[in-house]
Amino acid sequence: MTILLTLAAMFALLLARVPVAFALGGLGLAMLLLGGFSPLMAPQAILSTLDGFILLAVPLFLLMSNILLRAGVGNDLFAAVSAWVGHWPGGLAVATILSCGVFAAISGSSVATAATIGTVAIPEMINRGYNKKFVYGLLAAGGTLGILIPPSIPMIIYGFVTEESVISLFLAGIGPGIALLIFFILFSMVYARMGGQEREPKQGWAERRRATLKALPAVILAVLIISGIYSGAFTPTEAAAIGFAASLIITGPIMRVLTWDALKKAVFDSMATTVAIILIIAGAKIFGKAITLYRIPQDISMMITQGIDTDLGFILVVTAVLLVMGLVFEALSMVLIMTPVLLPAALALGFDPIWFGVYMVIMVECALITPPVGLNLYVIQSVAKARLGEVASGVAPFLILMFVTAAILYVWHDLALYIPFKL
Amino acid sequence: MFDRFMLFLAWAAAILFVLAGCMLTYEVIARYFFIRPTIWAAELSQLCLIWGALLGMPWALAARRHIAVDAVTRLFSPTAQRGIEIAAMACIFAFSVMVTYKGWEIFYESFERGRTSGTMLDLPAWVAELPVAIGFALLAIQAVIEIVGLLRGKDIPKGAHE
Amino acid sequence: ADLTLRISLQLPMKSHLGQNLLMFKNEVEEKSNGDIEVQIYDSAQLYKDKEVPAAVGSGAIEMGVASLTRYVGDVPAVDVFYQPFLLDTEEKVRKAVAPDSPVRAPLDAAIADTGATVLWWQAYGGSIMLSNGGPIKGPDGLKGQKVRVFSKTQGDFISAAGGAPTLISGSEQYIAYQRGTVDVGMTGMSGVKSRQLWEVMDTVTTTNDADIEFIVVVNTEFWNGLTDEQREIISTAAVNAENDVRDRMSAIEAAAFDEAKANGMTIYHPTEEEMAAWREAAKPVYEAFLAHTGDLGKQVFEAAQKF
Ligand code: NA
Ligand code: NA
Repeated sequence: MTILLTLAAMFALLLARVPVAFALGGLGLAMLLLGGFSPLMAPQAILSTLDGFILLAVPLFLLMSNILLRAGVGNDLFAAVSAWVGHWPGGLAVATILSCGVFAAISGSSVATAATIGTVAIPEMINRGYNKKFVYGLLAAGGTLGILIPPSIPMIIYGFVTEESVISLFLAGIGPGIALLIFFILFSMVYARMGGQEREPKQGWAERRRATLKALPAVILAVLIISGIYSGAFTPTEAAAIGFAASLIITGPIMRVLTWDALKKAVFDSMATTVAIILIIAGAKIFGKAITLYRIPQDISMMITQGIDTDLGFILVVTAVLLVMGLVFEALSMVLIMTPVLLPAALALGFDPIWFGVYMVIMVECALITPPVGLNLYVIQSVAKARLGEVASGVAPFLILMFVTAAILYVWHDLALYIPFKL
Repeated sequence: MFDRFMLFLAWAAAILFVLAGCMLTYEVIARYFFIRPTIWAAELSQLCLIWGALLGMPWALAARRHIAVDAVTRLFSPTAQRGIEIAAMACIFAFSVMVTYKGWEIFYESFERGRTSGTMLDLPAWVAELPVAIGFALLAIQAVIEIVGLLRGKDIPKGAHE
Repeated sequence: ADLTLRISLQLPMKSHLGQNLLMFKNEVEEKSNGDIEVQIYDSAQLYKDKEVPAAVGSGAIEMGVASLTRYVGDVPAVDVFYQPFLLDTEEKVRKAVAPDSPVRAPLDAAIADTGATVLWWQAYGGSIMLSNGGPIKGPDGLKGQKVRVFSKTQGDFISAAGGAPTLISGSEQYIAYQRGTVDVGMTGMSGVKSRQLWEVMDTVTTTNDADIEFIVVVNTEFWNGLTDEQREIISTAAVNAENDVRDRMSAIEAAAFDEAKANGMTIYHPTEEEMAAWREAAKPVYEAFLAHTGDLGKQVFEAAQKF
C-alpha cells in the first residue's frame, strides 16, 4: 500500500512539471516528516551528495565535451571519418556511427554526443538522399553510445550510489559499446545496399591526410582518456580534469579554433547541466533515505528474490520494469531510483555488480530513445527541426539491435567483464 | 535586480567548476611528474563543487534548466498550465524553506562547536555546510518571484532539454 | 515493538562488524521480549561512515557505527590510535581500549560533548602495508612511492617518510593497485580479505602502524529518554558484543593472514632494525599530533606510551 501511494505521489509531482530534483527531494522530505523521522536527513543527504569526489568528474567531463562541441570538433571528426569510409556502402551512415563512437570516448553524455555529431551529419546525409527517418533514428541511437563507451555520467552515478569502482564500470562498458557500434555499422551497410543508396566517391590520399590532421585533436583526446583510464594513470576525476585541460589547450593555443565567446558558452552550459544533474542526485538521495526507512527497497527486493528464482526470470523482470519506466522517466532518475531497489536482489542471485551496472546502462540507452520522454529524441528533433513522431519511428530498428546486445551480454557476461577483470 | 544577482551567482558557479578543473589538473601533474601530490587540490575542488552547485541552483530555476517532465502538462490549456506551474513552484518553495531551516541548523552547530573536516587540510566543517542554507534560501526567494511573475501573467519560460 | 533502534553501518552485514551488530540485535530483542526492535541499515544505505558523527549527534538517527577517527573533526585527540607504532601489539591495544583506561575514558567523555554516547568499541585490527614484488623494508622503501592512505595522520606519516600519500576510496582500491595508480597500499587485513586484494598485490608488510577501531554511538538525548530497564538491556548487550569481537579479533586477523597466504601472498614481519627506523620516521607525526591536540591529546598520548 505504501509502495503504491509513494508511486502515485511521485507520478503526480513529476507530471505536474515539478523539476525531478525537487519532486524526489520534496517527496522524500514529506515522507520523512510523515514517518516521524528527522527532517535533518534532507540537508544531510544534499551535503553527502555534494561531498562525493567522484561527482567532480561530472562538470569536468561536461566542460571537455562542451569545449570540443563549441570549437567545431564535430565537423572535423565527421569529415575525417567520411574521408576514410565514405565510399563504403552506406558510407555516410558508417561515418556517422564511427564519429559517434569516437566522440563517445571523450564525452560522458548521450545528449552531447547526439547533438555534436547530429548537427553535422543530419544535413549531410539528408542532402545525399538518405531516408529521413533512418537518419534521425541513426543519430538518436548512435548518440546513446555516449554513455556506454567510457567516460559515462550514468556510470559515474551508478558507481557513486553503489560504492563500486567507476574505473571498472568504464572498462566494462568498452566491450558492449564496441559490439553495439559494430551492429549499427552492419545494419547501416545492409540498409543502404537494400535501399539502393548511391555510393560516395572515394577520397584521395591527400584529402584523407588533410581531413585526418584536422580531426587529430579529438582522436588524441579520445586515446588519451581511454588509455589513461585503462593504464591506471588517472582516477576518473583526474581523467576528467586532464581531458578538460587538454581540450582547452588543443582547441585554444594550438589549433586556435576556440573563440572567447565559444569558451564562455561552453563554460556556462557545463555549469547549467552540472547543477541540474547534481541536484537530481541529491534529491534522489533524500528520496532514497526516506524509502529505505519505510523499508520499501528491502520489501521489493524480498518480493523479487522470493518470487523469482531463475537468473533469466530476474533479468526479464528487470528489463521489463526499466523499459516501462524508461518510457516516461529521464535517464538519471531511473538509475538513481532503481539501483537501490534492484541491486540487492541482483547480488542475492549472484550477479556481478559491475555487470549489472553495464546492463542497466544499456536499458537507460533504450529509455533515451523511447517516446514520449526520451532526451535523445528531443535533441534530434530540435537539431533536425523534425517531428517527434518521425524521429521516434526511425529508432525502432536500432532499439532491436540494442536488445540483441543486451541479450548477448546476458548470455556472455565476459562481453563486459573481460576487459576490466581478465585482460 | 534579483535576476541579475542570480545570473552573477551562476557565473560564479561556472567559474568555480573551471577552477576545480585547473586545481585537479595541477594535482595530476604534481603527482605523476614530481611525485608531490598536493594536500589541497582534492579538498578545495570539492568545495568548488559544493558551492558551485548550490549557487547555480536559483538561476537554473529561473531559466527552467532543472530537468522536468512536460509530456503531460503541455497537453493542457495555457491557463491550466499556468495554474500547474504555480503549484509546482509552491512545492519548490516549501521544500526550500524546510531545507534552508534545517541546513542552517547543521551549519550553526558545526560553527558553534568549531568542528573541523578532519581531512588533510582540516578546514572548518561549516565552510562546506553554509552554502546549503544560502543556496536554498535564494531558491525559496526565486520560487516566490516565479509565482508572482506567473500571477502577473508572465509566460512560462521554455527551458532547455539536457 | 515499543521502541526502535536504528543503526547505520558503513560495512556490509557479512563483515565482522555487521555480524557483531547482529549479535547485539539478537540479544536486545530477546531480552526485551521484542519490546525493543533493532534495525540495522548496513552498507551505508543511510549514512556514510564520515557522516555518522553528525547524524547521531544531531539525533537524525538513533545509533550509528563510525570509525573512531571519524570523530577527529570534533575531538582531534582520537587520532592517538593512528599515531604510527604507538599501539603496535595486541596487549597494548587491549590496555588502551579497556572501558576505564586512561586512553579510552577521556576520549569517550570528549565524544559525549558531541551529543553522542559511546555504547561500545568494535575491534577492527591493525593497519598493514600492501606492495608488489617484495616487502616495504622500512621508511626508505617508501621514498618516491605513491601510497594509498585512509586518514590525514597516515598522510602526514607517509609524507614524513618521503612517499606521496594519495587518498583513494575503499571501492577504488582494487583497481588502483591493479593498474598501478599507487604503488603501496595501507589498509586493514579484513579489507584485504573482503576485497580479495591478493589478486592484485603480492606482499603484506605487517607494520601495525595504526590500530583501527570502530565505535557504536547512540544519540544522548534519546539515550537519556529511555527507561532504566531499557538502558540496562542495551548496555549489557553492548558489553557482550564488545567483548566478543575483541576476543575474536586476533582469530579473525589470523584467518585473514592464512587466507592471504593460501592465495599466494607473502607475509613479511619487519625486523627490529626496521621497526626502529619506522619509529624514527614517525617522530614528526607525534610532534604534530601533540602540537594541535592540546591537553587532551597530551594526556592520552602519554598514557598510551606507558603501556
Ligand atoms: Na562516453
Ligand atoms: Na524514454
